[in-house]
Amino acid sequence: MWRYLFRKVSIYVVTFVVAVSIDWAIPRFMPGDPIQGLLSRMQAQPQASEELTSFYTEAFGFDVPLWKQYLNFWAALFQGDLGLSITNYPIPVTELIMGALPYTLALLVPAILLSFWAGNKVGALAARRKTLDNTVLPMSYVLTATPQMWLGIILAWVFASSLALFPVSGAYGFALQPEWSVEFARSFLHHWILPFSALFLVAFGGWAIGMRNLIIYELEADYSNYLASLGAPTRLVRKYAYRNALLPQITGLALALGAVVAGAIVVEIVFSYPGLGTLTLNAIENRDYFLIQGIFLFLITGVLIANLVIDIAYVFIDPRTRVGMQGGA
Amino acid sequence: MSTRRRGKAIGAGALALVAAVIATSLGVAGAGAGEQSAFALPRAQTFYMSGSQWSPYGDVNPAKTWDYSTGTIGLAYETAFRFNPLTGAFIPWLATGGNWRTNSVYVMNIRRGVKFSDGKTLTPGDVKYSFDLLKAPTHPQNALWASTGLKTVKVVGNTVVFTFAGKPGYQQFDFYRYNVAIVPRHVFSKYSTTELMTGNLDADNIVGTGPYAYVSGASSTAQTFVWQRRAGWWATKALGLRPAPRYVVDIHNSSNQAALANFQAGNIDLFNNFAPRSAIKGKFKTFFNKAPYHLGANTTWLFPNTTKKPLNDPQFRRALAYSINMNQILDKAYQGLVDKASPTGLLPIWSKWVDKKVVAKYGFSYNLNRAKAILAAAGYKDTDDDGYVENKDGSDISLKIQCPNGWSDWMTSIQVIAESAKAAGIKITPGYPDYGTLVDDRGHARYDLVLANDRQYSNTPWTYYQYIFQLPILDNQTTVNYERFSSPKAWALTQQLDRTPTTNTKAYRAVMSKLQTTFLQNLPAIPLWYNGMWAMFNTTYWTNWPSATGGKYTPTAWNNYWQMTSIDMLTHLKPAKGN
Amino acid sequence: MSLKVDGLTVYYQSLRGDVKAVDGATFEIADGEIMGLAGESGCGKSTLGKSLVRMDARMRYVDGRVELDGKELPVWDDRKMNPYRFKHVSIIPQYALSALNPTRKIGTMATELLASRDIPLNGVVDEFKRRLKIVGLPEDVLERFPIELSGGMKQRVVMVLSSLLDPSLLIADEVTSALDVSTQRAVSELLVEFRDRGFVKSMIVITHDLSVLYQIADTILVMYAGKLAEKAPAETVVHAPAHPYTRMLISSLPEVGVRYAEKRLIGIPGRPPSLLEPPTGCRFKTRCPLAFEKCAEEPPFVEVAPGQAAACWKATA
Repeated sequence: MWRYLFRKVSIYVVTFVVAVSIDWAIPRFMPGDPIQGLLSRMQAQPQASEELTSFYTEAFGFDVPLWKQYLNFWAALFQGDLGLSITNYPIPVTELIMGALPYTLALLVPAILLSFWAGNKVGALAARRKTLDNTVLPMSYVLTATPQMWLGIILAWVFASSLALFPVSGAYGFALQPEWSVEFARSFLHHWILPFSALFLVAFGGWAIGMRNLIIYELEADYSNYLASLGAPTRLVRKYAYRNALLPQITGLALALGAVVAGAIVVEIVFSYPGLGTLTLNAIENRDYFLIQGIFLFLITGVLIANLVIDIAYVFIDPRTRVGMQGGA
Repeated sequence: MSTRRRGKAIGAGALALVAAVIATSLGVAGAGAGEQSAFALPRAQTFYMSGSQWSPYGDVNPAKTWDYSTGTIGLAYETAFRFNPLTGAFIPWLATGGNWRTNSVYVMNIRRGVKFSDGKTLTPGDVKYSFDLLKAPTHPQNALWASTGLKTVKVVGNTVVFTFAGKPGYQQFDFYRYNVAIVPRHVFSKYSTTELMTGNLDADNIVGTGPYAYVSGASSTAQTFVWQRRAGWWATKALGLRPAPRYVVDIHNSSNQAALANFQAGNIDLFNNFAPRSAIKGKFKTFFNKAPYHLGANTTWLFPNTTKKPLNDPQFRRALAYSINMNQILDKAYQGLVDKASPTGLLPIWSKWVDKKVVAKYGFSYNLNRAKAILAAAGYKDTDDDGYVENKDGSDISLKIQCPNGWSDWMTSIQVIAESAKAAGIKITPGYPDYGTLVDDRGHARYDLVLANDRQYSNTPWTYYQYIFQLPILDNQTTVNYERFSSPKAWALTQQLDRTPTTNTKAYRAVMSKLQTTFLQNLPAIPLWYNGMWAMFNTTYWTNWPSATGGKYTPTAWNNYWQMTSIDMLTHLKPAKGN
Repeated sequence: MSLKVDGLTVYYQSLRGDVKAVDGATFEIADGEIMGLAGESGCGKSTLGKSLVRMDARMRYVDGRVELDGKELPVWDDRKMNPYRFKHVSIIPQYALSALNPTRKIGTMATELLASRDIPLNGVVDEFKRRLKIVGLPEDVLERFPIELSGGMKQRVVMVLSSLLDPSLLIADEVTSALDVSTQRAVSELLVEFRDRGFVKSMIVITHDLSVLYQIADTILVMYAGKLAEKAPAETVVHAPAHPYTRMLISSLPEVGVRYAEKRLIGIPGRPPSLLEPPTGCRFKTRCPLAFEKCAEEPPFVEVAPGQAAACWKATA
C-alpha cells in the first residue's frame, strides 16, 4: 500500500511541476506588455516614462533572461512568495489572493458538498420512484447541461432584477463591513444565495443523474437479489446499494472539482462577488502576470490536493482496492 | 418505516430545509428589527457614490493620481488652489492667493490656521516639501521640475516662492497649482522614496487637511471605501463650509449594469457610471434637465496612425473627417446624451479661445459630397470599381478602426463611422480588441484608427495640444501623440503656449489661433464628441445637487475633479426633506 | 408433510408475450427428502426453484398452490412471502460467488441482515461460527471481505448463511455448476450433511448434472420445456427410467474411462421448443423416437409405478 501511495504522490508531484510551468508560461505568451499598460494607465508624463519603465522592469524581474525568471519563480515559490501584483503594485499577490479566497471558498465548499449530498439523495430516491424519476431526471439533464454562468444570469435577472427578492451583486450590503455580527451574517447570506444556487443547481443535476443510474445498477446486482431472497427489508438493500453506488460518485467528485471551480470563477464575475473570479478577470484584462500566475497556481494546487485526498481516501473506503493493495488472499 | 412513508419524510425534510434557507435569506430583506451591527451606516447621513473606482482599493498614495482610492485627494488631502472649469477661475484654497512677482518668480501665500487631521498646523514648509517631492524622476508628476523650467522652491515667511529659469511654463505650472497634494512633512518623511513614488502608503496613517477621515476599505477585496466627516476642517471656520454627509462611501465598480441596478434600487446617491437615457426619470436627475443632460468631460478623438499610408496624407484625413456622420453617432450610440465636438477639439470651457475665422476656413463637418470631392482631388480613385477608393499607387485601402471591447457606446460609434466612411468610398472595418491589447497596440503604432479620450478637463488647452503634438516620439507612446504626428513647428507652438500666461490675452489668443490653424490644416487627430461627465442624482436622501440652473459644480467623484469643484457639491448638498 | 406443490404455473413477461417457463408443476417432497431437479438449460428448473422463494420482477404467477408444512405459501405476494423467507424457505442462489456485498465484511453483513429481520443475535452468531467450522472455514472469515475469499470459500459461506435459521426447505440452485470436481464433491457432501444434521428439513437441489444428483439425491425430478417429465427415486431414474427423455438423457452421459472411439455418445437430436409458443400436446414429441399419434394430446403426469411418475403415453401404456 505504501508503494502505491508513494507512486500516487510522485505522479501528483510531476503533474504539479508541469502544470505550474505551464501556469508560469501562459501569461508571458499573452500579447501585451503589462508595464506599458501600467504606464499608460498612470498617464505618466513622457519624461517619467523612461524612468518608470526601467524601475518597474527591475522591480518585476523582467530584466533577466526568461530561463532565469523561471528559476527565480520556483525559488520564490518555495518561500511562499508569489510576487507583487503589477496593476496593484506594490500589493503582494498572496495578499490579494488571501483577501479573495474566503469569498470563493464560501461559494465553492457549500456548493460542492451540498450538491453532492442532495444530488445523491435525490438521485437514489428517483431510482426507485417512477413519478419522481420522470420529473427529476429530465430536470437534472437540463441542469447539468446548463452553463453555471448562464444560470447565474437568469437567476440574477429573475430574482434580483425583476422580483427584487435578492441583491444583484456584491457579497454584502454597502452599509456594512466584514465583521462578526448577526446583521453582517444576514446580509452576507442574502447576497450569497443566488451565486451559490447557480453553482449548486448545476452540480446537483449531474450527481442526481449519476446516482440514479448507479442505484439502478446496484439494485439489480446479485448481492441485492440475494439479500431480498433472504427476506431482508428494502431498507437494508437500499442502504447497501447506496453505499456501493457512492464509491464511483466519490471518484467522480475528484474529476468534477476542476469544472466546479471554473464555474465558480465565472459565476462570481456575474454577481460581482469579490472572490477569485473577479480578481482573475481583472488580472487578465490588465495583463497582471504575477496575479494571474498566482491565482492559477492556487487553483491548480487546490484541485490537485483535493484530487490527491480523494484518491488516497478512496483506497481506505473501498475495501476492494484496499485489500487488493495489500495483496489479498 | 415503510418505504413510502420514509420517502415522503425525506422529501418533506428536504423541502423544509430549502424553505428554511429561503425564508432566512428573505427575512434578511426586511432586516429592520434585530441586532444592529456595530458598523452599519445610517442611510440618511451617508452619501453613496459609484462610477469612479474600477481597480481594487488599497492605494492611498496621492502621487498616484490614476490609482488612488476615490477621494484620497479631495476628501483627505487637498491642494493649494482649486480650479473651476466652468468659469476658468482659480479658487484659493490652502493658499490664500499668489501672483507673479516677476516673469519668472511666483509667490504663493499660505493660509494660516489650517490644521492637519492629527492636530498639527500646516506650514509653508509642508507646501515646499510637497512640491519638492515631485523632484524625484520616478514621481508621476515630475514634469513640473523637468519641463516647466522650475529651479527652486523656497519658504519665505508665510509664503512659498517658486523660481524659474528662462521663460516658465505658465500653463503647466497653473495645472500643478491645483493638482499637487499638500502633504504633512512630519508623516511623509517617514516613508522611503520608493514607497512615496510607487507604493500604496498606509491607510491608517492618512493625515490630511481635508474634511474627511479614513474609516475602512483599503483592502483589495473591499466592496466599499468609507470616509467619515471630521471636526476641525479649516474651511468651516474660514469659509463657513461644511460638507453635508456624515459618511461618504465610494462603491467599487465591476460593471455599469450591476451599478445601475443598485442605483435604481436606491442604494446609490451619486451615479457616475454611464447609463442609457431611459434611466433618467422620476427621482433620478442630471445636471441639465434636457439634452445633453450631462456636462462634457473630455473630447473623444479619432486617432489615425499617421505613419501608415494613406493616413499619412492630410487630405485623406480631411476627407475622412468630412465623412463622419456625427448626428447618427449622437443618436444611435448616445441617444442625445453627448454633444458634438468643435472641429478644433477644444472643450466648451475654452470656446472663448476658438478662432471662428480659422474654423470657418479650415474646419469640417459632415458632408459626404465634400468628402468624395477631397478624395478625388487628392488622387484617390476607385480604379477597380469595388466601391472603395485605392491608394495613389493602386494598392487597396482597407482600414481597421478599434475601440476597447465592452465599451458599448464606443463600439456602436465606430460602427457608424465605418458605415459612413464606406458611403464616401473609404473601406473601414470595426474591431473590438480587449483593453490591454488595444493600449499596447496603440502605443506601438500597431493600428490604423483608434478612439481615445485620455485628456480631461483642465485649466489649460495646453494639455490638449500636448496630447496631440508632443515630441519626441518614443518607441512606446504610452500617453500622448498616439498618431505619431511629427511637426516640430506644431510642438514649438505648443511649448510657446505653455510659456504664455493666460493673463496676456492678446499673445495667448494669437498662439491659440496659430495652433488651431496648424491643427485644422493637418488634422492629425479628428475630434468627435464630448464624452459625458456622467452624473445621475438620486434625490431621495439628498437634494440641492449641482445643476445648470443652480450650483454649477462638477458633479463627479472621479479623481482629479474633487480639487476642481466637486467638493462644492458636497458642501452645498442638503438632506432631503424628512431626513 | 413438508412441501406440496400443485399445478404451479409461472410465466416470464416479455415484450413479445409470455414465456411459459413453468407450466402446471405438481409434486411432493417429504420431510428429510433431498429431491434433485434436473433438466436441460431453459427447461424451467431454476424458475421453479426461484418461484418458491422470491419471484423477481419479470416472473408472473399464473396459477397453482404451494403448501409448506401444512401452511400455504403466498408465493404470488412478495410482501406476504417475506416472513417465510430465510426462516422457513431459503435459497442458495445460482450466483453465490457474487452474492455477498463486496464492500462489507462478511460478519457485519450477516449481523446486519439478522438484525434487520428482527432476529436476536446472541445464539445465532455463535451458531454461525460453529457451522463455518463444520464446513471447514476458519472463524476469522467473518472479519474478511468477500474479495479475500476463493470461489469455493464464498460458496460455503453462502451455504451456511442461507441455512443458518434452519429452514424447512432449502433450495440449492446450481451450487456445483461453477466448481471443479473435487470441490463439487465436497460441496455435495456438505449438502447431505446439512440434511443429516437437521440444519434443513428438506432440500431441492437444482442442477443439470445427473451424476451429482445420483450421488446425493433421494428422488430426482426431471423437467423438459417447462413441464415435468419424470419423478422417481434416484436409483430408478438412472437405471430404469420410464420417460423416453430421461432414458436418452441417461444414455448421453459420458462414462469415465471410456473413449469416444469405443463407445459413441448418443445425444438427443434436435432442440427444445420455444416456450413463447410451445407446441400443443407433448412438448417432447418432435424429438422423441417413440412418438405416435396420441402424443398430440398432452400426457398427464401420473404414477406409472410405485413412487415413480412420468408424463408419457408410452410409459402408462
